[in-house]
Amino acid sequence: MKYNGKIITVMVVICAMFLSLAVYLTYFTIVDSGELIENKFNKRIREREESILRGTIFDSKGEILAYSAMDGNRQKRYYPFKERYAHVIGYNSVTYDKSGLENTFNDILVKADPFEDISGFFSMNKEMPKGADLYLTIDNSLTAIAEKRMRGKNGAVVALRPKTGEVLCMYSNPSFDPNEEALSKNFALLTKSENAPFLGRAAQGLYPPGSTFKIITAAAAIEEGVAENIIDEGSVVIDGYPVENYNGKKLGEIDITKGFAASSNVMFASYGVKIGEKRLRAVAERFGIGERLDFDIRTSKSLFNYENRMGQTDLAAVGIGQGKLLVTPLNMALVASAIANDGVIMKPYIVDKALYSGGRQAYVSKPDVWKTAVSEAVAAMIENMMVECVNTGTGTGAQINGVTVAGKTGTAENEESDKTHAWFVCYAPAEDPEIAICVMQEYAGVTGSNCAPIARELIKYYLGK
Amino acid sequence: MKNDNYIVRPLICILAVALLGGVLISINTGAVNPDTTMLLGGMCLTLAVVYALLRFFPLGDHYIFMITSMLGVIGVIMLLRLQTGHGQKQVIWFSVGAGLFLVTSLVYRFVKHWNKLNKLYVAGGIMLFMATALFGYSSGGAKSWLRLGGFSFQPSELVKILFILTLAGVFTNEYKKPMENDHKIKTFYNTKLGRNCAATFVAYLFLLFLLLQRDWGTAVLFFAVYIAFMAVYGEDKRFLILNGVAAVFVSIIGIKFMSHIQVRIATWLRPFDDIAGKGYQITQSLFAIGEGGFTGRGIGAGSPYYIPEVHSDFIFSAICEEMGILGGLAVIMLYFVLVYRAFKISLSTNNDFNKAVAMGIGVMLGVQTFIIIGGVIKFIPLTGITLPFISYGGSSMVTTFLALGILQGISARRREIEDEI
Repeated sequence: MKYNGKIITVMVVICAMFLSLAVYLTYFTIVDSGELIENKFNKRIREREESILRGTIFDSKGEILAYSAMDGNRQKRYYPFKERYAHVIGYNSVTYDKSGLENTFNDILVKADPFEDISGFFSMNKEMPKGADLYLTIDNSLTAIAEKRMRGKNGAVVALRPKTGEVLCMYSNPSFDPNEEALSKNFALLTKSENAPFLGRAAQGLYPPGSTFKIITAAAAIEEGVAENIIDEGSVVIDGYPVENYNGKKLGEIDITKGFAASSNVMFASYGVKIGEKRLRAVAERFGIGERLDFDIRTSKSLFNYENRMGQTDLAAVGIGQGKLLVTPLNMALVASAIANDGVIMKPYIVDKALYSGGRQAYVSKPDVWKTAVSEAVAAMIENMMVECVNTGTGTGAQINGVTVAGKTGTAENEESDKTHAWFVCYAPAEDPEIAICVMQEYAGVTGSNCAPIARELIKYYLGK
Repeated sequence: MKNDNYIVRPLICILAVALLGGVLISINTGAVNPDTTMLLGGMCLTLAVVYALLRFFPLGDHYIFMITSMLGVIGVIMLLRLQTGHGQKQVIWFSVGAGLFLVTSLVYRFVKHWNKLNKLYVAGGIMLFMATALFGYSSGGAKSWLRLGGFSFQPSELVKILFILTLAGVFTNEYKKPMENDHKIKTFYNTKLGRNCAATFVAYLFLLFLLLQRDWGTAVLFFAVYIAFMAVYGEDKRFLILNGVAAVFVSIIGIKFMSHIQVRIATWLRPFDDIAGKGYQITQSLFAIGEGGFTGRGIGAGSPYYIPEVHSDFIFSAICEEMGILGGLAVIMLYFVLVYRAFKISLSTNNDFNKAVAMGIGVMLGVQTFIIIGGVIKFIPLTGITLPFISYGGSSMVTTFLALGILQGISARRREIEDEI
């Protein structure tokens, strides 16, 4: 009996070991497990998805853009428009995982109505439950035009409704066929291609904005009260850095509207210097440059890429949209929509709503303000300049009979000296804007681009003219 | 028959679990498997027979077999669900084990002088280890398996019991009065220090064999049993301190110089760093447990087959996936009650040797359960040892039943003594 006390001590130690197991297991389940099981090495995720027929994706008019059907005993994803939505809807592949909306809205696409689930449990009819369907803001016919007109050109087209932020069209070229067979057949080739077909240029491509940035410089100049008339000699030297107009054209004495419409580099470079770093950066941020955008698909952040203090030449370069500025076409469409919507940028969205197969709502988007870029008064003044630009300036290619179009062209110099990127941002009708557009073509040169005519065609279709 | 409630009710519970398990497997896998039904029936029949024997003959403790059969039934259900063939063999092993359990309890009870056979135990242990070293083969990183006839078994499982009997004998045998012509060693052995040294020598000898086999899990288990004996019977703090220093020293050597150990520690601390390689097994185990949540996905409705070795070392993860951690906690509690039972028998017996043996068995069962469950839930580094009565495997099942048979024999003897009084 003399050892009983010590035996009890040993027993207590063993008890503590058991207790620690129970506590840790409970802790793991409550705290760690939720996040842990989302890991893609957890094969149960695919398994669960396979047991629910993936939801269909519709455009704003009810046309089917993606759907799933059974192929033998496993389901298969079909994209009837192939290349058209490869960067927006993306793909859902066993081998290559998921991209685009298929990725970000995966949880909703594979989620059956929890209420229907219960009724299904009791019914004898064991039909495969269906995930929620997505209804996009995208207009398929509009995108078809963009696809057709961008053929052979690398670049992007973005169109949205300034009043709500609904994305009407988002297209990037070159693209690829996201259907499973085509994807696995071409994957190796696509990843190697110099044209980077997997890059969704509309939301992720980063380019110098060129003269389209003058919208932002103009806003800052007006706010700072430095938007005075100048005498444009065709070129000017700022701190040893020569700035020239396109083809060295001399514009003479001009006011800001004239300078904007004719895209005077002399004027906006000097404005950039006068505005100064702090104010220019602040205004650019209000237009979303350098700001993170929480969007339905992955986006790149536009960059105002100066870390050290900017010199005068830097300010002059940024004033005309060159220097270390990089923006996405989506961001530039938002810049246009800011002017269209009295200075307010609505948060863009692609997915309008998601409905379970029984009609119950699984998800819904509500228009929401993203940023207030400028005051209503400043927006009105810039609108004037943009209308002038299309009427008499560099943007005449976008003129439409009976519709006032407000726009701004851009030619952005890049690492290849002779091949500039071509830009056109615009919205219409100026009086009551329904659509804001950004068209961008890579390395198109001035003569090779047709950005303004593409925007014109999109507006004509959308407004039914 | 009012007094029989305490034995009949648990039996009904166990039968209900077996029945429900069988029904759920059939529903969730979408087919009634006649093999499954028959095997579960056979299992229940075994249980009923052993129960009847325990009930109508004075064979000792009733609880040990009750707890064991619940664990066994859970294990068989899980194995039947994973692979019918494994379940089938497990039912056979369980029945063999249960028979051996009864036989062992009787043999242990009626054969006296178990405490006089120390030399035999040590010799047997060494022989088994030598045989493994010479004729054994590796499985899962440790060269610890021996093939005999058509069967494979792990000799170290059997050595566990010999080890406990040895330590119990060393510490509880009476000291003999020194004689004139006694050898020095014999004189030394009959002192307290001598006994401690003898126990330490045997323990370290066995540990050396286990480390040569690279069976780290079992080595840790042996060390824990040895430390428990030293803590209770050693009465010498120096040994505990020296052992502590030795353990730290060996750990440091292992962590610094042995890649095998480094990998285990790394996969324990950061399993997701090499999720496709060395961390694969443990992360798959964690996915299974995490997906199970509190209530589990249902027996037959989960996907435990993604975990490599799920039927042996990782069966606890499969239980957690399909029965939830509530099921897992129930299993932990069953082991706890079983271990408690061993300690209870140890505390209430008057025979010093039997007291030590019962404690040793309790420590062994408790630590083994802790090591493997702690390993698969990533509480401690993973070392592959089996979960007694649940993991698929004959040698573990049979030897654990053997240990419990001894415990049962001790409990019956205790009753005899009580009856005499």
